[in-house]
Amino acid sequence: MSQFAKDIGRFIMKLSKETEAIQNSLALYCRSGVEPPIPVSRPENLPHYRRLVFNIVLNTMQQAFPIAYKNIPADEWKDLVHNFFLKHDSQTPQVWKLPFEFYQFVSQNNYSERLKKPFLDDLLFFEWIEIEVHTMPDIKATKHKTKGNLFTDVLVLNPEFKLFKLNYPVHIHPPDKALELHGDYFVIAYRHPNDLNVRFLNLSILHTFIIEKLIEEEYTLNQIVDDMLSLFNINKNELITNISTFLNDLFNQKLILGYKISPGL
Amino acid sequence: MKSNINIGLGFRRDLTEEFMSQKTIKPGFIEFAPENWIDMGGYWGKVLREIETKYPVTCHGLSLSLGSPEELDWEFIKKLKIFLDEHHVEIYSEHLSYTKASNAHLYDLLPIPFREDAIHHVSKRIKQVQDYLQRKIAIENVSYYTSVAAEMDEATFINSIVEEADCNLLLDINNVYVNAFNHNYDPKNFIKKLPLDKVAYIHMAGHERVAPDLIIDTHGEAIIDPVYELFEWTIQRMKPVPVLLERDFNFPEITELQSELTQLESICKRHWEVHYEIK
Ligand SMILES: [Fe+2]
Repeated sequence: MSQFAKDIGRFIMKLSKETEAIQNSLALYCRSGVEPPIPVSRPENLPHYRRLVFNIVLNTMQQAFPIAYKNIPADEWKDLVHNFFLKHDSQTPQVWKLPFEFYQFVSQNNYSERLKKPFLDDLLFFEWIEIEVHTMPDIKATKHKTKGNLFTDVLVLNPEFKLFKLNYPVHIHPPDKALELHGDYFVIAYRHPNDLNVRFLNLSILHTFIIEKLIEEEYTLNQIVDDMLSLFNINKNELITNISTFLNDLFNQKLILGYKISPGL
Repeated sequence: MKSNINIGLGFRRDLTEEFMSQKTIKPGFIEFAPENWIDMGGYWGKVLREIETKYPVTCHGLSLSLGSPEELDWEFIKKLKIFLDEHHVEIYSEHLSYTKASNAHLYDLLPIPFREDAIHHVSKRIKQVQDYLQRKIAIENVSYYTSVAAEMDEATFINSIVEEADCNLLLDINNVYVNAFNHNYDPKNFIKKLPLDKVAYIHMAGHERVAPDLIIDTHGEAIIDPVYELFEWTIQRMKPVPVLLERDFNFPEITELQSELTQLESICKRHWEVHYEIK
């Protein structure tokens, strides 16, 4: 290459439309199988690229969604992943986050109906949440102490959690059984601070209400109880007994970490 | 890294205990793919922090896609910089290939056309990333199973980029062997043409011969003798750099891995200890 050509090249430094089209068509071939109209030295090897690329996506999904994978016939699963890879432009540079994009693709395109697996969206979401909570960046809990008053102190939640709702209880039952139990299931997934594993707790509507209040870390239990008494028609004593048991359990399970230390103290 | 002779291993989650205890295997450093660890908290975040108290750490990127036609992903590069700084990463390398096109990631290494405009395009991107990261990148020669719309040979392509981008080279000896076999050229002649003074890091790996005329770079087998020989021939022509054993699949007994590390170490000692005194 002459010095002049080098200088000109450095000045322009732009990829030609032709090279860009060549690169795009090879990538598209990997996704679609449509033979790229480009000069290649060993065309017989192109299918290896398609195979290697697709296997990465297929393996990623199989590892992320072991229950869904087992509950969908193998050829349908493969088709589903194929469709995803072809039609969806994968956005994350981190392949372990791709299962979330897969979940979104499947639920937005109504594959649960097409595959006659009504539980599919919930199942993929549930399996993804386990990954998400297990891997989420560490979050520092609000400053707290371990001794305090359950009713007059503000309680501090373990911040590494995800609260969500399912229509099928796939977090409790195998998919076939869950299918018969359509309803509203409130679930909290959290990372246990001791072993850093993910635990799932099934919550009643009442307990979900309490958790949502606790998340704000502003109200004492007395305030929350007053709130609930004004909203629901329940007996105060029964409510207090119920809540005390529930919250003590959350303390034991390390979903509640302690009592908030007010700023300045 | 303190010594002249440094033989490392890529981090494998299923070897966490062995890496921690250092009883059955003790690499000189550990390589991580930053994409697999950025934003990672919890158990694996803790493992990473523990590993880096015991070993020097290098990073080998997967998704920067230096050869992409489209814009660099600055969101990702910002996170990458924080990660490299936070974890005191000594060497950061990436592939001379592309993994993203038409706004979609493919998570595997596609060959860049060996063309003039691609040289300038890729060099510019490497420079941009180096400027932002405030460190040099070592770019790796990748294995490829077909060339695409090539207008020059691979060595010219690599050389031009290393020169224009003013970056370092990660020389993957197995990839040279694989490409020489698949594209019918002499691996030593190829290596002679490379800027060996710019090599900052070496990769060694095994591969799989899937047809009489095709080798796939699987990282799933032991290193074969001709690749060891090519390695030994090459290192006599360059200064000492860290050497990484890549093994991603089909894991052997830990003793086998350790013996591969030991073999690499003894080859390095044979040539690098004699000529370069350890400080
Ligand atoms: Fe490599």
